[in-house]
Amino acid sequence: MTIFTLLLGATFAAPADAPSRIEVYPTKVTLGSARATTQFVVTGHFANGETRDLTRDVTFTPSAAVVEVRDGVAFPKKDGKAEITIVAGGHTIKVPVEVSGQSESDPMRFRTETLAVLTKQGCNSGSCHGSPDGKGGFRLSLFGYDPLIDAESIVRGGLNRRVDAFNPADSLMLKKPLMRVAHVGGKRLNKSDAGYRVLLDWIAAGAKTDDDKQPACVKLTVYPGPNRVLRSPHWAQQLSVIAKFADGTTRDVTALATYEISHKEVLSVSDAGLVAGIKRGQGAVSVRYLNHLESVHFTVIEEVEGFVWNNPTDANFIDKHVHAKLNQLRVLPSDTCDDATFLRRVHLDLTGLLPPVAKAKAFLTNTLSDKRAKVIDELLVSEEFARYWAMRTADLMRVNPKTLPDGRAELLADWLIAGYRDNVPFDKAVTDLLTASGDAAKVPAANYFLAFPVLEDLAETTAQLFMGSRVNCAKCHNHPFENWTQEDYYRIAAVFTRVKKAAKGTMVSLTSTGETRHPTSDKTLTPFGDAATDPKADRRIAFAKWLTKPGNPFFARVEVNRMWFGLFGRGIVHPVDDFRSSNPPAIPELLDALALEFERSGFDRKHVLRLMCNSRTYQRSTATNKFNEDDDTLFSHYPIRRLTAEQMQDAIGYATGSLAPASELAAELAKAEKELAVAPTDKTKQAAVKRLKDRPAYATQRLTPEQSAFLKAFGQPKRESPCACERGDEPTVDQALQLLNGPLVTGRVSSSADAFAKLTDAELTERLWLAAFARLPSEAERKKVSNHLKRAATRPDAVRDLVWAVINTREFLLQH
Amino acid sequence: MFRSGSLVTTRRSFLGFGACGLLSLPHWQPAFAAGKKARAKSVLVVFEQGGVSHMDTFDPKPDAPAEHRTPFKTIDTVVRGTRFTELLTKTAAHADKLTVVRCMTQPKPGIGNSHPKGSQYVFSGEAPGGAEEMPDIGSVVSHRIGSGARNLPPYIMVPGTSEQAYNTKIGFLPPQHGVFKTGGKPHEPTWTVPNLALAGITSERFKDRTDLLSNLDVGIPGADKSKDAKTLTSMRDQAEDMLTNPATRRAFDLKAEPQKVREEYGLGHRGQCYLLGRKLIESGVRFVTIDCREPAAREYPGGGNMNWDHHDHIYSPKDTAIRGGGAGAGRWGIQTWPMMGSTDKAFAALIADMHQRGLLEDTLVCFMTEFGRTPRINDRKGRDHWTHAFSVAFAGAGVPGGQLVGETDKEGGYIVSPKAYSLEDYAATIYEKLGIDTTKPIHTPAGRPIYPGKDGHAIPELM
Repeated sequence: MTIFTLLLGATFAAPADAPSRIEVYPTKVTLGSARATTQFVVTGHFANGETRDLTRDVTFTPSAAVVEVRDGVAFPKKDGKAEITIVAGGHTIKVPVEVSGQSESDPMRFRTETLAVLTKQGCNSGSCHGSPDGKGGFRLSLFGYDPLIDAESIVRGGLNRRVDAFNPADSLMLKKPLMRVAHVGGKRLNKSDAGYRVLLDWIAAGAKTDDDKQPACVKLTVYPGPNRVLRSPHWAQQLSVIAKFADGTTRDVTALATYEISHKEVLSVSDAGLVAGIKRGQGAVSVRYLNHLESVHFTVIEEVEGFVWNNPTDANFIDKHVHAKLNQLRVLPSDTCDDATFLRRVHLDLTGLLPPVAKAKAFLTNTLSDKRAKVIDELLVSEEFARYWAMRTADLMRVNPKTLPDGRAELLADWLIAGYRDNVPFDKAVTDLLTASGDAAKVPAANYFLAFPVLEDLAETTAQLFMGSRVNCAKCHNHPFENWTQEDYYRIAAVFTRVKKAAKGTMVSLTSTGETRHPTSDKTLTPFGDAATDPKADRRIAFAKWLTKPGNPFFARVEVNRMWFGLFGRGIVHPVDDFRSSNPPAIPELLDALALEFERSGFDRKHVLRLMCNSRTYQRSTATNKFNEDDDTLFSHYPIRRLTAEQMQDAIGYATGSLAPASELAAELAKAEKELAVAPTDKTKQAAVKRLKDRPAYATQRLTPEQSAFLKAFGQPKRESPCACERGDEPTVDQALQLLNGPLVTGRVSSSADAFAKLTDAELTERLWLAAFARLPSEAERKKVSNHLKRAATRPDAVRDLVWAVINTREFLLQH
Repeated sequence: MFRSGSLVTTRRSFLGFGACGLLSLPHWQPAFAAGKKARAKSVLVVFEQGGVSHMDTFDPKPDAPAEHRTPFKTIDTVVRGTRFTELLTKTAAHADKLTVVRCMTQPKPGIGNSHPKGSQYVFSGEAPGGAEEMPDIGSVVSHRIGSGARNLPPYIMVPGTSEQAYNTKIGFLPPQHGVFKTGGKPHEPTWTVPNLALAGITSERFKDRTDLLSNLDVGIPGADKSKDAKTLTSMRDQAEDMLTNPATRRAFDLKAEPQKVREEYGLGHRGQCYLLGRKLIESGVRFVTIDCREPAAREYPGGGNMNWDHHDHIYSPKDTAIRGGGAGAGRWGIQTWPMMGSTDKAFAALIADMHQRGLLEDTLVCFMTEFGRTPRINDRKGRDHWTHAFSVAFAGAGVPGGQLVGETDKEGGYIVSPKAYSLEDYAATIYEKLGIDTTKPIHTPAGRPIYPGKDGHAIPELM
């Protein structure tokens, strides 16, 4: 008790810093077993709205010796009732305590204690005994998802040497992690660990694994949560973790739970759940107990010397949320980019293409104040936009002539394009897709179901596309870092289990029966989402309804995040299809506001894109300042990134004079259609119309991807996976070789001499600069070019060398 | 949230939790722990695809029943007690530099019993068909320790056959670690390496171009703080070096080799491919796989696809087409020049040459095939696939010379020695020779930790 006096003194030493009130969690303590404990969390609320963890700064005084409090944890002493008086900063709170069961035996439980310890000590992690084949002949289920495997392996495996009930301390299961005998995994346990006691007592009591009738854990509550701000210098926060069981009882498992940090440079956490900030930033602490995982998101803030918030204006609510986060974390946004940069950026992001020369020239001289908004509007209604964004969507749906032959890949691609062109509300588009039936040769959306060899892929893809969740781990075991269980996985599969593909042909039909069973328990599973009222009804309809209902936790968030990713090259949640509580959004309020706006607008994709493009956040310069140069997640400056494979190929085509601006194709098509109307059987004219419709020469505009070495080198996805990560976006040597010396570049550079043969030096320079960079050349650049052209032995070669150099500049190769 | 902890790193460190913490063990190091000194700098794999008959080469069975016995004599090698068949007469002279492993097996035979899967099994050292597609060993090596020569790709295949086009895998690794296949027919005088030679312009003009580029490349604001912008520039520098460094051209320039050396290897396709393999190792390439077969040629009528898949008429003095035969047509008999004749000559020359140049000091040479062939001759005079036992050979990088490991029964059917090694063990051997820590995971883009080589143990007799 002397220690408390000291702490008390310390608290009183800083009276000016006193809280206006304190709060204690939990508000009552029940200790029903000799080894039950309760972690207190004492929070101070301050006048300025700040909250602070005071758990280590308060005194705990029990009214009777039934309980003892050490380091903020209540331990039972004997049966009875008492009160604990908690004093902090001049405030007092009393917490009632009830202690019982101290003289009753309470054997250690395998499923809720032993397995939790094996997880906490890392024994059943994926790199150790939790790997599919185990390690060193000892296999455990990953994070204890399958107690039967673990029971068999621990009690009967290893020639019965793993547990020794007669000499518990000599059990191999203890000697190995203590390193009393060689252990490849090293020392994983100390005798002082709480876990050692659990394992020893469990073995001593006979290593019983028959507690399967005991109530299972149904819920995990982590306090405080779900968010907490830690303000310098008060960077510590104790967590409390309480498990609720099926019989309604609860138990404090703070000591048994496992803690993990998403951003180790920002936060740390102890085995006892004490979180500490390390530096300014954001991160999540994930708390695992058995198959449950909850996360608390922390924002760690401190003052930065010399930082002055510059009060940038907000173009719309997007900026409001971004600015609030930037200010909170002391990051200063960059200035707005210039017109040329904006024009090039927005064209590439919305259409995949460089702005045409004439358009760039006009834009640069246009003095109207709303000219940026006008360009955004124009692009959003363009055919180029629809085709480019549909291409990116098709990438994720395996729209691939190999899996969808006989023109069906093109049919589905066309349907996706129409969805963007007509701005079909996204909830409708997805419902149409997920509930399509019929002959896929005629019903475009039905091809969604034929792009996958097995039913499971359909569940995974649907979850990844529209719920932003990578559930595939849960196919074989419960998801290691999220609450997705194997049961969830097969419940999503159950949604599609009655979809039947014809053995031959392209029919997608439904049967009225058919169930999905859990692979190990064999339990028949109800489909994921809202329960259908009619058991015979198409399960997909109920699922689509649940999915697209405003307020669904995934649907709107995932799609606005994908749109954001399309414009910034980085999601607010990143990766875009990895939504989980342990991977928090960079700016949660922004994601929420965008999702709400998306729902409110009737799932209007163009509306949300328009808002994003018009925000100051989107129109920021790539230049950084002293207070944002380390930021690459909060969108304080526009992120520089390599052009995508398709953007690159078309940009090279346009800059070298090989490709006409795609925006001219619509007029050409109208003309060609008119000509065809006069001579409808003319094969050449038919081909011309088809070519103008399908745009095969444009990588960003085609119906299905061209598979070229160039595009592959630049990370074009194979369309074999629903993961956005299938697209490679890192610069590589292979790409550099393609750009410096590859056949596509060589060919296009070579023909540029003819394309530009008639231009004067000045015209050529202007043409190249406007096409490649959407800006006019500077005087210095004009001079350099003119010198180069003059010096050259032959003009065609000089032109080629110049074109080659232009398309190899960083300004050309990068989106900026 | 800040760059120092970009999401990838943090997600990875997150996923890595529970890693076994090997490094905290100063007093007891497991055999495969990190920090073990690399014994090899580079690896040269000779992959003879199709399933080389072990009874007819490294594992002669003179006591097998006559009707199934190899017709070729068992001969002594320079090492007492080590005997090959006479098809390896030239190699026999260098047995003192080889460890021959006669107890290779595919522990899960259903997986790699076809040529595509079997080849993939050899390339990746992992049984195909797992939850994740595994990259080739060469790609993992490239990812882990990078290139030994900046101007050359880290993992090159010479030349890579069209049949294998889809069996080399990059899996979850980024594209720069993919295999670079030279393609073509290196023995032909007109052969050049695509993409690594300047396309249609002289090096002087290329220099002029790059000068112009540096003059015009004014950059963009913030480029010095952008990872993509910086990587792009460094990749461009490296690519320029690859294209202009005379060492790149020299590495592939077979014509620069003395005629006598070229003849030692054999002037045909196989010999020159083996020689090119040696040249690339000498030039600093980290991982080279020779994957070649004699191309169809007028001299070899009926030899459409001369790999080792001798289902039919294995001992034919010419092509293997036989009445009632099928899948085994298109080869030539095992003893003919385009088959073991050229192989024995090229392999013997390779070992001798690398030994003489001191390259065996820190290069691990592996002679591999995906499986062996049935100890019994089928009714089409051929031998079918046999995954239970087959022979491979190793040299260099500390591999003891003149060693035999493992033993099969008197027909060559099953392993009778107490030990047997798998393709996973072969992969683990390579990783350990290169000093690569197999306990450190590589994360897939989706965040799953993968441990290449984890299913094998380095073959102790080679260490």
